Amino acid sequence: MQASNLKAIPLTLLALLVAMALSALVYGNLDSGQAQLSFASPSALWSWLFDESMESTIFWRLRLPRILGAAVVGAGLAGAGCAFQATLRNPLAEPYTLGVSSGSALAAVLAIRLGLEGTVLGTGGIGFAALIGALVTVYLVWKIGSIGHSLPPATLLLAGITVAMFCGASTMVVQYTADIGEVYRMVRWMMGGLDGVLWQSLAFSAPATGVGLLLLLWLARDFNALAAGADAAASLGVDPKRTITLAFAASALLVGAGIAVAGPIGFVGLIIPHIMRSLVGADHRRLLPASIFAGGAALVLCDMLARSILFPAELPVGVLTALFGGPFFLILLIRNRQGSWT
Amino acid sequence: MIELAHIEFGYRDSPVLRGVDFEMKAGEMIAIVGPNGAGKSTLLRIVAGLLACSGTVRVFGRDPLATGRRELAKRMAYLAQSHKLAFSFRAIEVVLMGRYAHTGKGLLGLDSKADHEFAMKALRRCEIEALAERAYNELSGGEQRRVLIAQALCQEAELLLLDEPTAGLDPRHARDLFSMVRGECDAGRTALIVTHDLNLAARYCHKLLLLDGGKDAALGVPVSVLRSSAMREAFSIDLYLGTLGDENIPYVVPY
Repeated sequence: MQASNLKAIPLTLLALLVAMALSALVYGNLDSGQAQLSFASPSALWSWLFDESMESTIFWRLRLPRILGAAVVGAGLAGAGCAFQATLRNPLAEPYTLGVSSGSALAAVLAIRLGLEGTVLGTGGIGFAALIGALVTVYLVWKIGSIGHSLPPATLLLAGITVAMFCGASTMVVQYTADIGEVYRMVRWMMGGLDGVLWQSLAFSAPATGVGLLLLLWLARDFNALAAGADAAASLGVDPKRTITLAFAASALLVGAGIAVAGPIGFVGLIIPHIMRSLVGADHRRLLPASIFAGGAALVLCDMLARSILFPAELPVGVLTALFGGPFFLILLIRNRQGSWT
Repeated sequence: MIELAHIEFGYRDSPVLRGVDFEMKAGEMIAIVGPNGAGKSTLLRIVAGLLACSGTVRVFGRDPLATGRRELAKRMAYLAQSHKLAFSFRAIEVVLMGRYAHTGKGLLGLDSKADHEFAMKALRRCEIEALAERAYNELSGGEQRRVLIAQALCQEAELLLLDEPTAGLDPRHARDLFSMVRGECDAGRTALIVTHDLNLAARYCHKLLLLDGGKDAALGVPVSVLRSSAMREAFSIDLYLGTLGDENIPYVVPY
Protein backbone atom coordinates (compact mmCIF):
# COMPACT_ATOMS: atom_id res chain seq x y z
CA MET A 1 0.00 0.00 0.00
CA GLN A 2 1.42 3.32 -1.04
CA ALA A 3 0.54 6.60 0.62
CA SER A 4 0.04 8.44 -2.65
CA ASN A 5 -1.64 5.49 -4.31
CA LEU A 6 -5.14 5.99 -5.67
CA LYS A 7 -6.20 2.94 -3.73
CA ALA A 8 -5.60 4.87 -0.55
CA ILE A 9 -8.68 6.97 -1.39
CA PRO A 10 -11.27 4.29 -0.60
CA LEU A 11 -9.39 3.68 2.62
CA THR A 12 -9.52 7.33 3.61
CA LEU A 13 -13.19 7.44 2.70
CA LEU A 14 -13.90 4.37 4.72
CA ALA A 15 -12.05 5.71 7.74
CA LEU A 16 -13.95 8.97 7.38
CA LEU A 17 -17.24 7.15 7.00
CA VAL A 18 -16.63 5.02 10.04
CA ALA A 19 -15.42 8.02 12.04
CA MET A 20 -18.57 9.89 11.03
CA ALA A 21 -20.73 6.91 11.89
CA LEU A 22 -19.01 6.87 15.22
CA SER A 23 -19.71 10.53 15.84
CA ALA A 24 -23.30 10.20 14.62
CA LEU A 25 -23.86 7.27 16.89
CA VAL A 26 -22.41 9.13 19.83
CA TYR A 27 -24.79 11.97 19.01
CA GLY A 28 -27.86 9.80 18.45
CA ASN A 29 -27.08 7.69 21.47
CA LEU A 30 -27.68 10.55 23.84
CA ASP A 31 -31.44 10.61 23.62
CA SER A 32 -31.96 6.93 24.13
CA GLY A 33 -31.81 4.97 27.32
CA GLN A 34 -33.43 5.30 30.65
CA ALA A 35 -33.13 9.07 31.03
CA GLN A 36 -34.71 10.93 28.14
CA LEU A 37 -32.28 13.53 26.90
CA SER A 38 -34.08 15.36 24.14
CA PHE A 39 -32.67 17.14 21.11
CA ALA A 40 -36.08 18.63 20.37
CA SER A 41 -35.09 22.25 20.87
CA PRO A 42 -31.76 24.11 21.02
CA SER A 43 -32.65 25.49 24.42
CA ALA A 44 -33.25 22.00 25.82
CA LEU A 45 -29.92 20.92 24.35
CA TRP A 46 -28.23 23.89 26.01
CA SER A 47 -29.88 23.17 29.31
CA TRP A 48 -28.80 19.55 29.60
CA LEU A 49 -25.32 20.31 28.32
CA PHE A 50 -24.51 23.26 30.55
CA ASP A 51 -27.15 23.76 33.24
CA GLU A 52 -27.09 22.20 36.65
CA SER A 53 -29.83 19.73 35.91
CA MET A 54 -30.30 16.00 36.37
CA GLU A 55 -30.04 15.54 32.58
CA SER A 56 -26.77 17.41 32.52
CA THR A 57 -25.37 15.23 35.30
CA ILE A 58 -26.51 12.09 33.51
CA PHE A 59 -24.96 13.28 30.24
CA TRP A 60 -21.58 14.31 31.62
CA ARG A 61 -21.15 11.76 34.39
CA LEU A 62 -22.73 8.63 32.89
CA ARG A 63 -23.67 8.82 29.23
CA LEU A 64 -20.53 10.36 27.75
CA PRO A 65 -18.02 8.09 29.52
CA ARG A 66 -20.23 5.12 28.68
CA ILE A 67 -20.29 5.95 24.94
CA LEU A 68 -16.59 6.69 24.87
CA GLY A 69 -16.06 3.47 26.81
CA ALA A 70 -18.02 1.52 24.17
CA ALA A 71 -15.89 3.07 21.41
CA VAL A 72 -12.64 2.32 23.25
CA VAL A 73 -13.56 -1.26 24.17
CA GLY A 74 -14.94 -2.01 20.68
CA ALA A 75 -11.86 -0.58 18.97
CA GLY A 76 -9.56 -2.55 21.28
CA LEU A 77 -11.41 -5.84 20.81
CA ALA A 78 -11.53 -5.51 17.02
CA GLY A 79 -7.83 -4.58 16.90
CA ALA A 80 -6.90 -7.51 19.13
CA GLY A 81 -9.08 -9.86 17.05
CA CYS A 82 -7.29 -8.72 13.91
CA ALA A 83 -3.91 -9.30 15.57
CA PHE A 84 -4.82 -12.79 16.82
CA GLN A 85 -6.10 -13.78 13.38
CA ALA A 86 -2.85 -12.54 11.80
CA THR A 87 -0.44 -14.12 14.27
CA LEU A 88 -2.27 -17.45 14.56
CA ARG A 89 -2.85 -17.43 10.77
CA ASN A 90 -6.40 -18.43 11.48
CA PRO A 91 -9.46 -16.44 10.40
CA LEU A 92 -11.45 -18.03 13.23
CA ALA A 93 -9.20 -16.68 15.95
CA GLU A 94 -10.60 -13.90 18.14
CA PRO A 95 -9.53 -11.99 21.26
CA TYR A 96 -10.69 -14.80 23.53
CA THR A 97 -9.22 -17.68 21.50
CA LEU A 98 -6.22 -18.11 23.75
CA GLY A 99 -8.37 -18.52 26.83
CA VAL A 100 -8.20 -14.85 27.76
CA SER A 101 -11.88 -14.58 28.67
CA SER A 102 -11.81 -17.77 30.74
CA GLY A 103 -8.68 -16.59 32.56
CA SER A 104 -10.11 -13.17 33.30
CA ALA A 105 -13.48 -14.67 34.29
CA LEU A 106 -11.72 -16.93 36.80
CA ALA A 107 -9.87 -13.95 38.26
CA ALA A 108 -13.08 -11.86 38.41
CA VAL A 109 -15.05 -14.67 40.01
CA LEU A 110 -12.28 -15.15 42.56
CA ALA A 111 -12.32 -11.42 43.31
CA ILE A 112 -16.08 -11.55 43.92
CA ARG A 113 -15.76 -14.69 46.06
CA LEU A 114 -12.99 -13.13 48.15
CA GLY A 115 -14.89 -9.87 48.50
CA LEU A 116 -12.29 -7.76 46.67
CA GLU A 117 -14.85 -5.46 45.10
CA GLY A 118 -13.27 -2.16 46.11
CA THR A 119 -11.46 0.21 43.78
CA VAL A 120 -7.95 -0.27 42.40
CA LEU A 121 -6.29 2.27 40.07
CA GLY A 122 -9.62 3.96 39.36
CA THR A 123 -11.24 0.76 38.19
CA GLY A 124 -13.33 -1.68 40.18
CA GLY A 125 -11.53 -4.46 42.04
CA ILE A 126 -13.29 -7.06 39.86
CA GLY A 127 -12.19 -5.27 36.69
CA PHE A 128 -8.63 -5.02 37.94
CA ALA A 129 -8.60 -8.73 38.81
CA ALA A 130 -9.98 -9.49 35.34
CA LEU A 131 -7.19 -7.46 33.73
CA ILE A 132 -4.56 -9.35 35.72
CA GLY A 133 -6.29 -12.62 34.81
CA ALA A 134 -6.14 -11.73 31.10
CA LEU A 135 -2.45 -10.80 31.23
CA VAL A 136 -1.48 -13.91 33.20
CA THR A 137 -3.44 -16.17 30.84
CA VAL A 138 -1.80 -14.77 27.70
CA TYR A 139 1.63 -15.06 29.31
CA LEU A 140 0.93 -18.67 30.34
CA VAL A 141 -0.28 -19.65 26.88
CA TRP A 142 2.70 -17.89 25.28
CA LYS A 143 5.08 -19.71 27.62
CA ILE A 144 3.48 -23.13 27.06
CA GLY A 145 3.28 -22.53 23.27
CA SER A 146 6.93 -21.49 22.89
CA ILE A 147 9.07 -24.18 21.32
CA GLY A 148 12.67 -23.03 21.13
CA HIS A 149 12.82 -20.02 18.83
CA SER A 150 9.35 -20.51 17.43
CA LEU A 151 5.70 -20.13 18.40
CA PRO A 152 3.79 -22.59 16.19
CA PRO A 153 0.13 -21.48 15.81
CA ALA A 154 -1.26 -24.99 16.34
CA THR A 155 0.60 -25.39 19.65
CA LEU A 156 -0.56 -21.95 20.78
CA LEU A 157 -4.18 -22.78 19.94
CA LEU A 158 -4.01 -26.08 21.81
CA ALA A 159 -2.37 -24.38 24.79
CA GLY A 160 -5.13 -21.73 24.70
CA ILE A 161 -7.91 -24.32 24.59
CA THR A 162 -6.36 -26.29 27.47
CA VAL A 163 -5.88 -23.22 29.66
CA ALA A 164 -9.46 -22.11 28.85
CA MET A 165 -10.88 -25.48 29.90
CA PHE A 166 -8.87 -25.46 33.12
CA CYS A 167 -9.98 -21.90 33.95
CA GLY A 168 -13.60 -22.78 33.09
CA ALA A 169 -13.57 -25.74 35.46
CA SER A 170 -11.91 -23.67 38.20
CA THR A 171 -14.55 -20.96 37.76
CA MET A 172 -17.28 -23.54 38.34
CA VAL A 173 -15.54 -24.76 41.49
CA VAL A 174 -15.42 -21.19 42.80
CA GLN A 175 -19.09 -20.64 41.89
CA TYR A 176 -20.04 -23.88 43.61
CA THR A 177 -18.58 -22.60 46.85
CA ALA A 178 -20.22 -19.14 46.57
CA ASP A 179 -23.54 -17.98 48.02
CA ILE A 180 -26.50 -17.02 45.83
CA GLY A 181 -25.76 -13.28 45.89
CA GLU A 182 -22.18 -13.81 44.81
CA VAL A 183 -23.23 -16.25 42.09
CA TYR A 184 -25.66 -13.64 40.72
CA ARG A 185 -22.91 -11.00 40.59
CA MET A 186 -20.54 -13.49 38.95
CA VAL A 187 -23.04 -14.44 36.24
CA ARG A 188 -23.97 -10.80 35.68
CA TRP A 189 -20.31 -9.84 35.29
CA MET A 190 -19.79 -12.61 32.73
CA MET A 191 -22.58 -11.21 30.56
CA GLY A 192 -20.55 -8.07 29.95
CA GLY A 193 -21.99 -4.57 30.10
CA LEU A 194 -21.05 -0.94 29.75
CA ASP A 195 -23.39 0.40 32.43
CA GLY A 196 -20.58 0.68 34.98
CA VAL A 197 -18.22 2.77 32.81
CA LEU A 198 -17.27 6.02 34.56
CA TRP A 199 -14.59 8.61 33.83
CA GLN A 200 -12.28 6.93 36.38
CA SER A 201 -12.37 3.58 34.60
CA LEU A 202 -12.02 5.31 31.21
CA ALA A 203 -8.97 7.21 32.46
CA PHE A 204 -7.34 3.83 32.96
CA SER A 205 -8.63 1.87 29.96
CA ALA A 206 -8.35 4.54 27.23
CA PRO A 207 -4.57 5.11 27.55
CA ALA A 208 -3.96 1.34 27.83
CA THR A 209 -6.04 0.79 24.70
CA GLY A 210 -4.23 3.63 22.91
CA VAL A 211 -0.83 2.10 23.64
CA GLY A 212 -1.99 -1.37 22.56
CA LEU A 213 -3.50 -0.09 19.31
CA LEU A 214 -0.43 1.98 18.41
CA LEU A 215 1.76 -1.07 18.95
CA LEU A 216 -0.48 -3.16 16.67
CA LEU A 217 -0.47 -0.48 13.95
CA TRP A 218 3.32 -0.44 14.14
CA LEU A 219 3.29 -4.22 13.60
CA ALA A 220 0.78 -4.09 10.71
CA ARG A 221 3.37 -4.70 7.99
CA ASP A 222 4.91 -7.60 9.92
CA PHE A 223 1.45 -9.22 10.15
CA ASN A 224 1.35 -9.26 6.33
CA ALA A 225 4.69 -11.05 6.22
CA LEU A 226 3.40 -13.63 8.73
CA ALA A 227 0.52 -14.61 6.44
CA ALA A 228 2.72 -17.22 4.72
CA GLY A 229 4.13 -18.59 7.96
CA ALA A 230 7.12 -18.03 10.19
CA ASP A 231 9.81 -19.09 7.69
CA ALA A 232 8.47 -16.87 4.92
CA ALA A 233 8.21 -13.94 7.34
CA ALA A 234 11.77 -14.50 8.53
CA SER A 235 13.07 -14.55 4.98
CA LEU A 236 11.33 -11.21 4.36
CA GLY A 237 13.22 -9.68 7.27
CA VAL A 238 10.59 -10.04 9.99
CA ASP A 239 11.43 -11.79 13.26
CA PRO A 240 8.34 -13.98 13.72
CA LYS A 241 8.75 -14.70 17.42
CA ARG A 242 9.32 -11.05 18.27
CA THR A 243 6.30 -9.99 16.20
CA ILE A 244 4.02 -12.61 17.78
CA THR A 245 5.27 -11.80 21.29
CA LEU A 246 4.70 -8.06 20.85
CA ALA A 247 1.29 -8.69 19.27
CA PHE A 248 0.29 -10.89 22.21
CA ALA A 249 1.45 -8.28 24.71
CA ALA A 250 -0.51 -5.54 22.91
CA SER A 251 -3.59 -7.75 22.55
CA ALA A 252 -3.49 -8.83 26.20
CA LEU A 253 -3.40 -5.16 27.16
CA LEU A 254 -6.34 -4.36 24.83
CA VAL A 255 -8.48 -7.29 25.90
CA GLY A 256 -7.55 -6.83 29.56
CA ALA A 257 -8.41 -3.12 29.47
CA GLY A 258 -11.70 -3.94 27.74
CA ILE A 259 -12.65 -6.70 30.15
CA ALA A 260 -11.69 -4.55 33.14
CA VAL A 261 -14.32 -1.92 32.28
CA ALA A 262 -16.98 -3.91 30.43
CA GLY A 263 -16.57 -7.60 31.23
CA PRO A 264 -16.17 -10.14 28.45
CA ILE A 265 -17.89 -8.94 25.26
CA GLY A 266 -17.87 -11.55 22.54
CA PHE A 267 -18.04 -11.60 18.74
CA VAL A 268 -16.92 -7.98 18.10
CA GLY A 269 -13.29 -9.12 17.83
CA LEU A 270 -14.21 -12.03 15.58
CA ILE A 271 -16.70 -10.49 13.18
CA ILE A 272 -15.45 -6.94 12.64
CA PRO A 273 -12.07 -7.99 11.15
CA HIS A 274 -13.95 -10.40 8.85
CA ILE A 275 -16.32 -7.75 7.53
CA MET A 276 -13.50 -5.26 7.11
CA ARG A 277 -11.30 -7.82 5.32
CA SER A 278 -14.02 -8.31 2.72
CA LEU A 279 -14.26 -4.51 2.30
CA VAL A 280 -10.65 -3.32 2.32
CA GLY A 281 -8.65 -6.49 1.61
CA ALA A 282 -6.12 -8.47 3.60
CA ASP A 283 -3.32 -5.87 3.89
CA HIS A 284 -3.13 -5.19 7.61
CA ARG A 285 -2.05 -1.62 7.01
CA ARG A 286 -5.60 -0.99 5.79
CA LEU A 287 -7.37 -3.75 7.70
CA LEU A 288 -6.21 -2.80 11.19
CA PRO A 289 -7.23 0.89 11.11
CA ALA A 290 -10.53 -0.03 9.41
CA SER A 291 -11.25 -2.71 12.04
CA ILE A 292 -10.40 -0.36 14.88
CA PHE A 293 -12.82 2.32 13.64
CA ALA A 294 -15.54 -0.19 12.80
CA GLY A 295 -15.14 -2.04 16.11
CA GLY A 296 -15.64 1.18 18.03
CA ALA A 297 -18.69 2.11 15.94
CA ALA A 298 -20.20 -1.37 16.26
CA LEU A 299 -20.01 -1.50 20.03
CA VAL A 300 -21.47 2.03 20.36
CA LEU A 301 -24.35 0.85 18.17
CA CYS A 302 -24.83 -2.38 20.12
CA ASP A 303 -24.76 -0.49 23.41
CA MET A 304 -27.40 1.92 22.13
CA LEU A 305 -29.60 -1.03 21.14
CA ALA A 306 -28.91 -2.76 24.45
CA ARG A 307 -30.33 0.29 26.22
CA SER A 308 -33.28 0.71 23.87
CA ILE A 309 -34.67 -2.74 23.11
CA LEU A 310 -36.12 -3.53 26.54
CA PHE A 311 -36.54 0.12 27.60
CA PRO A 312 -36.75 1.05 30.44
CA ALA A 313 -34.79 -2.11 31.33
CA GLU A 314 -31.30 -2.70 29.91
CA LEU A 315 -29.93 -5.77 28.19
CA PRO A 316 -26.26 -6.57 28.94
CA VAL A 317 -24.38 -5.54 25.78
CA GLY A 318 -22.35 -8.78 25.79
CA VAL A 319 -25.58 -10.74 25.44
CA LEU A 320 -26.63 -8.54 22.53
CA THR A 321 -23.33 -8.83 20.63
CA ALA A 322 -23.55 -12.61 20.99
CA LEU A 323 -27.23 -12.66 19.95
CA PHE A 324 -26.50 -10.61 16.82
CA GLY A 325 -23.03 -12.01 16.27
CA GLY A 326 -23.98 -15.68 16.21
CA PRO A 327 -26.48 -15.55 13.32
CA PHE A 328 -24.39 -12.95 11.51
CA PHE A 329 -21.39 -15.22 11.64
CA LEU A 330 -23.49 -18.11 10.32
CA ILE A 331 -24.56 -15.96 7.35
CA LEU A 332 -20.91 -15.19 6.64
CA LEU A 333 -20.10 -18.89 6.93
CA ILE A 334 -22.83 -19.93 4.50
CA ARG A 335 -21.93 -17.17 2.03
CA ASN A 336 -18.30 -18.21 2.12
CA ARG A 337 -18.98 -21.94 1.93
CA GLN A 338 -18.34 -22.07 -1.78
CA GLY A 339 -15.26 -19.91 -1.75
CA SER A 340 -12.31 -19.34 0.45
CA TRP A 341 -12.87 -18.36 4.07
CA THR A 342 -10.51 -15.49 3.73
CA MET B 1 29.68 -16.61 0.03
CA ILE B 2 28.47 -19.85 1.67
CA GLU B 3 30.73 -22.07 3.76
CA LEU B 4 29.38 -25.16 5.46
CA ALA B 5 31.58 -27.52 7.49
CA HIS B 6 30.58 -30.77 9.22
CA ILE B 7 26.89 -29.93 9.17
CA GLU B 8 24.84 -32.36 11.20
CA PHE B 9 21.14 -32.11 11.89
CA GLY B 10 18.40 -34.48 13.00
CA TYR B 11 14.92 -34.69 14.45
CA ARG B 12 15.06 -36.54 17.77
CA ASP B 13 16.42 -39.99 16.87
CA SER B 14 16.36 -39.66 13.10
CA PRO B 15 19.40 -37.92 11.63
CA VAL B 16 18.79 -35.91 8.44
CA LEU B 17 22.25 -34.48 7.70
CA ARG B 18 25.34 -36.43 8.78
CA GLY B 19 28.33 -34.25 8.09
CA VAL B 20 27.94 -32.06 5.00
CA ASP B 21 30.82 -29.90 3.76
CA PHE B 22 30.12 -27.39 1.03
CA GLU B 23 31.40 -24.09 -0.29
CA MET B 24 29.96 -21.69 -2.81
CA LYS B 25 31.35 -18.53 -4.37
CA ALA B 26 29.52 -15.38 -5.39
CA GLY B 27 28.11 -15.52 -8.91
CA GLU B 28 27.64 -19.29 -8.90
CA MET B 29 24.42 -21.12 -9.63
CA ILE B 30 24.38 -24.50 -7.93
CA ALA B 31 21.59 -27.07 -7.81
CA ILE B 32 21.19 -29.40 -4.84
CA VAL B 33 19.96 -32.73 -6.18
CA GLY B 34 19.31 -36.06 -4.54
CA PRO B 35 16.61 -38.59 -3.73
CA ASN B 36 13.62 -37.76 -1.54
CA GLY B 37 14.60 -37.49 2.11
CA ALA B 38 18.28 -36.82 1.33
CA GLY B 39 18.17 -33.60 3.36
CA LYS B 40 18.11 -31.08 0.48
CA SER B 41 15.45 -28.74 1.86
CA THR B 42 16.88 -29.05 5.36
CA LEU B 43 20.29 -27.94 4.09
CA LEU B 44 18.72 -24.97 2.32
CA ARG B 45 16.85 -23.95 5.50
CA ILE B 46 20.10 -24.14 7.46
CA VAL B 47 21.76 -21.80 4.96
CA ALA B 48 18.72 -19.49 5.25
CA GLY B 49 19.25 -19.31 9.03
CA LEU B 50 15.93 -20.99 9.76
CA LEU B 51 17.30 -24.09 11.49
CA ALA B 52 19.97 -24.53 14.12
CA CYS B 53 22.45 -27.36 13.49
CA SER B 54 25.82 -28.57 14.66
CA GLY B 55 28.86 -27.71 12.54
CA THR B 56 29.91 -24.39 11.07
CA VAL B 57 27.62 -22.27 8.91
CA ARG B 58 28.91 -19.08 7.34
CA VAL B 59 26.85 -17.01 4.92
CA PHE B 60 28.42 -13.71 3.86
CA GLY B 61 31.13 -14.64 6.39
CA ARG B 62 28.73 -14.74 9.34
CA ASP B 63 26.50 -17.21 11.15
CA PRO B 64 23.03 -16.54 9.70
CA LEU B 65 21.36 -17.50 12.99
CA ALA B 66 23.30 -14.77 14.75
CA THR B 67 22.50 -12.14 12.10
CA GLY B 68 19.40 -9.92 12.30
CA ARG B 69 16.55 -11.08 10.05
CA ARG B 70 16.17 -7.69 8.43
CA GLU B 71 19.87 -7.45 7.68
CA LEU B 72 19.83 -10.97 6.19
CA ALA B 73 16.72 -10.28 4.12
CA LYS B 74 18.44 -7.36 2.40
CA ARG B 75 21.03 -9.78 1.02
CA MET B 76 19.28 -13.15 0.88
CA ALA B 77 15.89 -14.30 -0.39
CA TYR B 78 14.53 -17.73 0.51
CA LEU B 79 11.65 -19.35 -1.33
CA ALA B 80 10.07 -22.25 0.56
CA GLN B 81 8.74 -25.43 -0.99
CA SER B 82 5.16 -24.63 -0.06
CA HIS B 83 3.82 -21.13 0.37
CA LYS B 84 0.19 -20.83 1.41
CA LEU B 85 -1.19 -17.48 2.50
CA ALA B 86 -3.63 -17.44 5.41
CA PHE B 87 -5.49 -14.48 3.89
CA SER B 88 -6.35 -13.36 0.41
CA PHE B 89 -3.66 -10.87 -0.59
CA ARG B 90 -3.39 -9.54 -4.14
CA ALA B 91 -0.37 -10.65 -6.19
CA ILE B 92 1.11 -7.14 -6.18
CA GLU B 93 0.83 -7.04 -2.37
CA VAL B 94 2.73 -10.34 -2.15
CA VAL B 95 5.49 -9.02 -4.44
CA LEU B 96 5.70 -5.78 -2.44
CA MET B 97 6.44 -7.78 0.71
CA GLY B 98 9.88 -8.25 -0.85
CA ARG B 99 10.54 -4.57 -0.10
CA TYR B 100 9.83 -4.81 3.64
CA ALA B 101 13.47 -5.26 4.60
CA HIS B 102 14.53 -2.24 2.56
CA THR B 103 12.00 0.43 3.35
CA GLY B 104 11.80 2.35 6.59
CA LYS B 105 9.15 1.39 9.05
CA GLY B 106 6.89 4.21 10.11
CA LEU B 107 3.73 3.64 12.10
CA LEU B 108 2.03 1.66 9.34
CA GLY B 109 5.14 1.02 7.20
CA LEU B 110 3.59 2.18 3.94
CA ASP B 111 5.25 1.38 0.59
CA SER B 112 6.89 4.18 -1.34
CA LYS B 113 6.48 4.98 -5.01
CA ALA B 114 9.94 3.50 -5.59
CA ASP B 115 8.79 0.25 -3.95
CA HIS B 116 5.92 0.07 -6.42
CA GLU B 117 8.29 0.62 -9.31
CA PHE B 118 10.50 -2.20 -8.03
CA ALA B 119 7.47 -4.48 -7.76
CA MET B 120 6.21 -3.68 -11.26
CA LYS B 121 9.68 -4.28 -12.69
CA ALA B 122 9.85 -7.66 -10.96
CA LEU B 123 6.37 -8.56 -12.24
CA ARG B 124 7.42 -7.66 -15.79
CA ARG B 125 10.63 -9.66 -15.44
CA CYS B 126 8.52 -12.70 -14.54
CA GLU B 127 5.93 -11.87 -17.24
CA ILE B 128 3.05 -11.65 -14.80
CA GLU B 129 2.04 -7.97 -14.87
CA ALA B 130 -1.45 -9.11 -15.85
CA LEU B 131 -1.79 -10.96 -12.55
CA ALA B 132 -0.89 -7.97 -10.38
CA GLU B 133 -4.41 -7.28 -9.11
CA ARG B 134 -5.53 -10.93 -8.90
CA ALA B 135 -5.93 -12.67 -5.55
CA TYR B 136 -2.79 -14.74 -4.88
CA ASN B 137 -4.77 -17.67 -3.44
CA GLU B 138 -6.84 -17.93 -6.63
CA LEU B 139 -3.82 -18.23 -8.94
CA SER B 140 -2.63 -21.58 -10.28
CA GLY B 141 0.33 -23.24 -8.56
CA GLY B 142 2.64 -22.20 -11.38
CA GLU B 143 1.45 -18.60 -11.32
CA GLN B 144 1.94 -18.48 -7.55
CA ARG B 145 5.53 -19.67 -7.98
CA ARG B 146 6.20 -16.88 -10.46
CA VAL B 147 4.70 -14.30 -8.08
CA LEU B 148 7.08 -15.56 -5.39
CA ILE B 149 10.06 -15.39 -7.75
CA ALA B 150 9.03 -11.79 -8.46
CA GLN B 151 8.95 -11.21 -4.69
CA ALA B 152 12.48 -12.60 -4.38
CA LEU B 153 13.68 -10.32 -7.23
CA CYS B 154 11.91 -7.38 -5.59
CA GLN B 155 13.92 -8.17 -2.47
CA GLU B 156 17.08 -7.32 -4.48
CA ALA B 157 18.95 -10.11 -2.73
CA GLU B 158 22.47 -11.10 -3.80
CA LEU B 159 21.79 -14.67 -2.77
CA LEU B 160 18.70 -16.59 -3.91
CA LEU B 161 17.81 -19.78 -2.04
CA LEU B 162 15.09 -21.53 -4.01
CA ASP B 163 13.41 -24.74 -2.85
CA GLU B 164 11.92 -26.53 -5.86
CA PRO B 165 11.06 -23.33 -7.70
CA THR B 166 9.81 -25.22 -10.76
CA ALA B 167 7.35 -27.44 -8.88
CA GLY B 168 4.02 -26.98 -10.63
CA LEU B 169 5.46 -25.05 -13.58
CA ASP B 170 4.90 -26.19 -17.17
CA PRO B 171 8.04 -26.96 -19.23
CA ARG B 172 8.23 -23.51 -20.83
CA HIS B 173 7.89 -21.59 -17.56
CA ALA B 174 10.26 -24.00 -15.80
CA ARG B 175 12.88 -23.41 -18.50
CA ASP B 176 12.28 -19.66 -18.45
CA LEU B 177 12.71 -19.61 -14.68
CA PHE B 178 16.06 -21.41 -14.76
CA SER B 179 17.17 -19.24 -17.66
CA MET B 180 16.15 -16.10 -15.76
CA VAL B 181 17.96 -17.19 -12.60
CA ARG B 182 21.04 -17.98 -14.71
CA GLY B 183 20.80 -14.50 -16.19
CA GLU B 184 20.66 -13.03 -12.69
CA CYS B 185 23.75 -15.07 -11.72
CA ASP B 186 25.61 -13.93 -14.83
CA ALA B 187 24.79 -10.39 -13.70
CA GLY B 188 26.34 -11.03 -10.28
CA ARG B 189 23.76 -12.77 -8.11
CA THR B 190 24.24 -16.20 -6.58
CA ALA B 191 21.65 -18.97 -6.52
CA LEU B 192 21.37 -22.22 -4.59
CA ILE B 193 18.44 -24.26 -5.89
CA VAL B 194 16.91 -27.48 -4.64
CA THR B 195 15.43 -29.27 -7.62
CA HIS B 196 14.41 -32.64 -9.00
CA ASP B 197 14.69 -31.39 -12.58
CA LEU B 198 18.07 -32.83 -13.55
CA ASN B 199 17.80 -31.61 -17.14
CA LEU B 200 17.30 -27.96 -16.29
CA ALA B 201 19.91 -28.21 -13.53
CA ALA B 202 22.39 -29.74 -15.98
CA ARG B 203 21.69 -27.12 -18.61
CA TYR B 204 21.75 -23.95 -16.52
CA CYS B 205 23.69 -24.57 -13.31
CA HIS B 206 27.45 -24.18 -12.92
CA LYS B 207 27.60 -27.10 -10.53
CA LEU B 208 25.49 -29.81 -8.94
CA LEU B 209 25.69 -30.82 -5.28
CA LEU B 210 24.48 -34.39 -4.84
CA LEU B 211 23.14 -35.21 -1.39
CA ASP B 212 22.62 -38.85 -0.47
CA GLY B 213 21.68 -40.16 2.96
CA GLY B 214 22.45 -36.81 4.57
CA LYS B 215 25.97 -36.53 3.12
CA ASP B 216 27.50 -34.61 0.25
CA ALA B 217 28.03 -37.49 -2.16
CA ALA B 218 29.35 -35.43 -5.08
CA LEU B 219 30.00 -31.83 -6.09
CA GLY B 220 31.15 -30.66 -9.49
CA VAL B 221 30.17 -29.57 -12.98
CA PRO B 222 26.82 -31.11 -13.93
CA VAL B 223 28.08 -33.60 -16.49
CA SER B 224 30.68 -35.10 -14.16
CA VAL B 225 28.22 -35.42 -11.27
CA LEU B 226 25.56 -36.96 -13.50
CA ARG B 227 28.10 -39.49 -14.80
CA SER B 228 29.42 -40.38 -11.35
CA SER B 229 28.78 -43.70 -9.68
CA ALA B 230 27.53 -41.73 -6.63
CA MET B 231 24.62 -40.54 -8.77
CA ARG B 232 23.63 -44.08 -9.76
CA GLU B 233 23.91 -45.25 -6.17
CA ALA B 234 21.94 -42.31 -4.80
CA PHE B 235 18.96 -42.83 -7.11
CA SER B 236 19.39 -46.62 -7.53
CA ILE B 237 18.92 -46.05 -11.22
CA ASP B 238 20.99 -45.83 -14.40
CA LEU B 239 21.06 -42.49 -16.20
CA TYR B 240 21.63 -42.06 -19.91
CA LEU B 241 23.48 -38.84 -20.55
CA GLY B 242 23.39 -37.27 -24.00
CA THR B 243 23.97 -33.90 -25.61
CA LEU B 244 21.78 -31.78 -27.85
CA GLY B 245 22.68 -29.60 -30.83
CA ASP B 246 25.82 -27.64 -31.54
CA GLU B 247 25.86 -26.17 -28.02
CA ASN B 248 26.21 -29.65 -26.52
CA ILE B 249 23.36 -29.06 -24.09
CA PRO B 250 23.40 -32.05 -21.72
CA TYR B 251 20.26 -34.08 -21.11
CA VAL B 252 19.51 -37.03 -18.85
CA VAL B 253 17.14 -39.92 -19.31
CA PRO B 254 16.68 -42.41 -16.49
CA TYR B 255 16.36 -46.00 -17.63
